[in-house]
Amino acid sequence: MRIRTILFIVTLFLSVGQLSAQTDTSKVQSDTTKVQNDLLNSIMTPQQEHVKLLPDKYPFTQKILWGQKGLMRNFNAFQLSPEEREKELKIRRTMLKMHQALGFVTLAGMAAQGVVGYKLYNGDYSIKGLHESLAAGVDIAYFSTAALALFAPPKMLDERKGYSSIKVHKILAIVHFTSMIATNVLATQLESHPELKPYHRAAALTAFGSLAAAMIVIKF
Amino acid sequence: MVVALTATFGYAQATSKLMSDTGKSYIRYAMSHPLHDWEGTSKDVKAVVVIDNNTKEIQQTAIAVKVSTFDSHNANRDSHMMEATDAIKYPNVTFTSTSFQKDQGQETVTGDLTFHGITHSITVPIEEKTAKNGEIEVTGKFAVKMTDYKIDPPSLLGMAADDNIKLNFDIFFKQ
Repeated sequence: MRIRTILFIVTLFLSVGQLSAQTDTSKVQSDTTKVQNDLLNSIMTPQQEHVKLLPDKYPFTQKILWGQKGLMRNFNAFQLSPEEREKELKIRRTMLKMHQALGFVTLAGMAAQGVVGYKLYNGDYSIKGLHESLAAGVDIAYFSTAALALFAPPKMLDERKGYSSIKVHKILAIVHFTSMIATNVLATQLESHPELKPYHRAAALTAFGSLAAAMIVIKF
Repeated sequence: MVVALTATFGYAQATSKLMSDTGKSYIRYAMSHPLHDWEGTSKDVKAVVVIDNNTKEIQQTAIAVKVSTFDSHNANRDSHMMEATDAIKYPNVTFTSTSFQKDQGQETVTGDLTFHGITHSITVPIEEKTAKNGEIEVTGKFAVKMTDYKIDPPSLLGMAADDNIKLNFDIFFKQ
């Protein structure tokens, strides 16, 4: 009887010990997680958690629409907030993809204009109508491409220091933008001033070359 | 009472915390795209280690780096990375250790890497150096897959970047 009692008590203690060990394991795990979290929280300052929603400097064309006091902020759907900025970045991504696609279309149109323009320049006036129609198409594609970049929601960050392909892309954009304007302005003067033809051609070739370079430089 | 006070004081001094030297520490990532490869470096590494005062061994560490601080010298690309990693919602990449091990002279740290709000346990081989002034330098490298952290690799001109991100770090801890 006594042995049975002793055996029972020993078994009881062993069972309780086992249960306690199981509970202790999960307690140890939650203690470890707490230690991890406490250590991480010791370095997570408010500054570490903060994300600046707009860069300090960005094109005025973007600022007019998307700046803190931009026109789009007058609409409830575009009130500046972290959630709204996430949506804007998706809009930006879509606009930039369209900018890239339309850029290729523009370049192809300019190449076609080069072939047609060459024939026209060398006396084949039967294709003057084609040249003017292609010009209208290239103008629409080109200035739509430009608008997609100029009026897109701004990126998250300020420009980084040093050389980057995107900086070169933007510098070349100034070259081909002014060349496109010059090409179009000179085109309107050719009827009354045919001596301007070489300048119109030079402006068009500059626009084509700088646009092609602007696209190639993105590769790097 | 004296014994209790001594025990308490002794326990309190058993470990020390060292903070990262943000002027010297960095974490760098490298990625590949069909058009080009690139690297981005963050020199704003917030980290802490807990050292055993007797053995001088690292017991724990925690590291936090803001996604926006990675600089690849191209703000458009860095901004695109912030979009891809939802950095507005998850501004930081963090690591908290669960254990340090040494095996045949090679030290490794195991811990939880949290990226894009997803946490995975990783083990990273590290090298540790202690300078005469007590400064500790920890270096190492590892790789992660973006898709493991539910990130769609960013794309350019219709082509996606490679899923793998290779990381290397050099973190200095000072008194």
